[in-house]
Amino acid sequence: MSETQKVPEPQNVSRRKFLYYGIGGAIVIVAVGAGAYYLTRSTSTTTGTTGTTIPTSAATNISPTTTASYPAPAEDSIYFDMWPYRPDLVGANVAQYDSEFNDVVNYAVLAGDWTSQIQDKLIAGSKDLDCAYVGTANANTWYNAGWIRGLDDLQVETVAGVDVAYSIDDIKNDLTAPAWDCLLAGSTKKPCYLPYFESAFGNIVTNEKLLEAGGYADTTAKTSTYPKSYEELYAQCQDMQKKGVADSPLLKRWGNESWEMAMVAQIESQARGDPVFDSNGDPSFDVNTPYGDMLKDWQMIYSTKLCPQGVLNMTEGDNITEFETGLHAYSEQHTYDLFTFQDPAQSKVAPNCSIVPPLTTNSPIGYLLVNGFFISNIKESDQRLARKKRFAEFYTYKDSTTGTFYRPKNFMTSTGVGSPYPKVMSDPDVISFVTAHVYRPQDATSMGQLLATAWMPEYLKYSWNSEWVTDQQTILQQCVQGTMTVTDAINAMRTDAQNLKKKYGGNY
Amino acid sequence: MRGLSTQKKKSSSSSFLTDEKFALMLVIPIIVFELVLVAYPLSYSFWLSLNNIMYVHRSITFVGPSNYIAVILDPGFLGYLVTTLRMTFDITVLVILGGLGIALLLNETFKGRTLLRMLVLLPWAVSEYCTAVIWRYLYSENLGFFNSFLLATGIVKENFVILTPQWAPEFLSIAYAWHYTPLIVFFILAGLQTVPEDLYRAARVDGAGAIKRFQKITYPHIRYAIIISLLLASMSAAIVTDSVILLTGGGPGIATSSLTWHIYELTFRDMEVGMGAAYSYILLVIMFILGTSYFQLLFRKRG
Repeated sequence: MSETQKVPEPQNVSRRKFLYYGIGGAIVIVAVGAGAYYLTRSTSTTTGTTGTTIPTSAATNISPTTTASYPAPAEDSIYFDMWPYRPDLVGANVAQYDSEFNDVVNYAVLAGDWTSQIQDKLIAGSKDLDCAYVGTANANTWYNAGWIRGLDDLQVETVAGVDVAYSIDDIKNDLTAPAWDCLLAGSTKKPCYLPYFESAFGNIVTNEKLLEAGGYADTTAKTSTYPKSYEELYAQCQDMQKKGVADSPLLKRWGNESWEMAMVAQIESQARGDPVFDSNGDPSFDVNTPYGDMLKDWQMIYSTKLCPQGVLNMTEGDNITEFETGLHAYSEQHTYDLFTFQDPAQSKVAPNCSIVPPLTTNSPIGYLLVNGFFISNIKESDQRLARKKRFAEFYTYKDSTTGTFYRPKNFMTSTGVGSPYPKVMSDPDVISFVTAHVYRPQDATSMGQLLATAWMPEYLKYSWNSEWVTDQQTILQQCVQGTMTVTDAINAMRTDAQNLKKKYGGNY
Repeated sequence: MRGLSTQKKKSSSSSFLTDEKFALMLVIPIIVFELVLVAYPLSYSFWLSLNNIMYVHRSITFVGPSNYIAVILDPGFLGYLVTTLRMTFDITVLVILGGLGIALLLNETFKGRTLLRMLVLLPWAVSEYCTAVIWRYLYSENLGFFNSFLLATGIVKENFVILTPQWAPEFLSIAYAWHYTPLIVFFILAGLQTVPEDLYRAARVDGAGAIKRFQKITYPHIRYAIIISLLLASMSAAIVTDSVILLTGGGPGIATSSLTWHIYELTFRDMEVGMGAAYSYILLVIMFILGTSYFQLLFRKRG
């Protein structure tokens, strides 16, 4: 450094002043933080009197209004977590509930790994989780762990001004018998969640245009020659591939969702006559049972590209979008996805998407899926619990103000997502919605038959099933790609099932 | 010496605080911060790794080092480790080479340089979540950009799968490197700004070409920025989780099942918290070895 350059003298700072300023600054930050926290809390949890406008997180056009018939909520909001399906519609329904009952429900869309996120909250006993969507397997695991409430005590009552209008028997009487069975915990045979929708998963939807090109359909006469077994389905696809109708005529549900591949394996193996587990919950599937044949077929499908190989990386949404491209003739989907595929605004298959009716030679295709709505088991006041029950009933059953199936019908006529209540499905508005959206009138009948004949295996209720399903996903993907032999895959899954049963101390 | 004695005199004359006490008070917030946010979780997770925890049964059993032994004996462990090292290598190479190249370009004087510097930063501003979603669509077999482009330009005759079991780790690394490279660009660019322009001029006069100039002038100035970037990039690469979860879900099959992905699966999906913690500690040891090697490299060079 040049000697001519002048270095400025460092200015002395008083240590006392420095510390005072530091401590003062910290106090200001803490005070501002505390103030902001207090203000946020007081605006988000309304304790106002009847007639006040209640803030809500519902991002909808329905603005919350007020009613004079219910007292204002005495405590904080009810927290409802949902998976990302039509949050707009859910928001509108929540806003409707808020306005009718002068309550506050905060709903949140959880993107990503649903199971992990909900488990975190349940383990923490979080007050920020009062109700959420759930599938049968998780509901049983979480119920057996005591994190979610059994609902056998749901009864008509008024608790501190909160009316619970319906009992569990009312709900049971309005449900189909198979749907009611889905709700019952395997361990206690008591209901552990309420039904949010019903679907038969694994139904085979079709692209009639491609079937016509392959010689299996006539779109003018609207007739089709559908396969009557999985073997026939694969043979048709091979034929269409050979004829150049499609590079990959079949879109399997082999995506990277943790439950997906395991579920279609269960559906297909049972349809082929393999019960998979015996009555004790021990694996009965083996290389020499139909499960083994199914895996051999799956390897053939992947290696010959009957199914696009990129399917292994697809999410559920990707898979639906993929079928909408119109590049595939058949795909395994939910019953209600038919309505999405019949929407010309987003699907190139529309208006030529149909659904294969129950097979005749094998067991019916389809896996009864009554996904639902649980209530968390946390320490809270009776009034708060009653509010949760009231909201659960509104969301899964009836609107007690009007006595109608408001939310189930609203969902059905907006999205086609089915309801396990026959009264909803036979509602004239629902029938006209279905009729207006199907490829041919018989498809409505087929859908009804598929829902009526679909079944749910008991092992879905085993505590360890949700973990087994995740493990299966990895093993099955490797098997399909041929990096694991059928024998190794089956042995790995059998061992895994036995280990999990041991780990969980039994089935329930 | 004179200055020091004056300073000493000044500090000892302060009746309020000694140098040591004052220094201690200044670091107290950091010590508290470290204890709360680092030491406590680390100790707690270590304790968890010594227990078998069954959330469903609300049971916790002390099992000592059994979880660590189970990890080592886990037939999948080597696979997870290899995948982690493979992706770490891929990402680090891509990020460092890409970062260096872009930084050298942005260090040149040309029209629109400021705008380009801003644009280069954009992938870093995009969250890892969004990065994974964007690249999932880019890679899609029938709907993706790459397939459509290659098909439209006639380079390929039919759609092909990009995220195959063989190459999924590499393509996942490309997606992550796209997100992470801008940070490294700016580290290296900062280093490049310190190189005196006179040296380049003198080198040109001496007839040194571009490679020689980089070798003799640029590299020595940015060497430490590169080593720090290597450290940061490889540490981040070794713990990539969001991209794996959202882009491939550990698949296809187990192709992208890294250690962090497996830890996530064990801990949050299967609720095997003890095993998850044991795996985490093994990853921590690997990271520690990696980090120490870099620091040794850094200080040995400096020494």
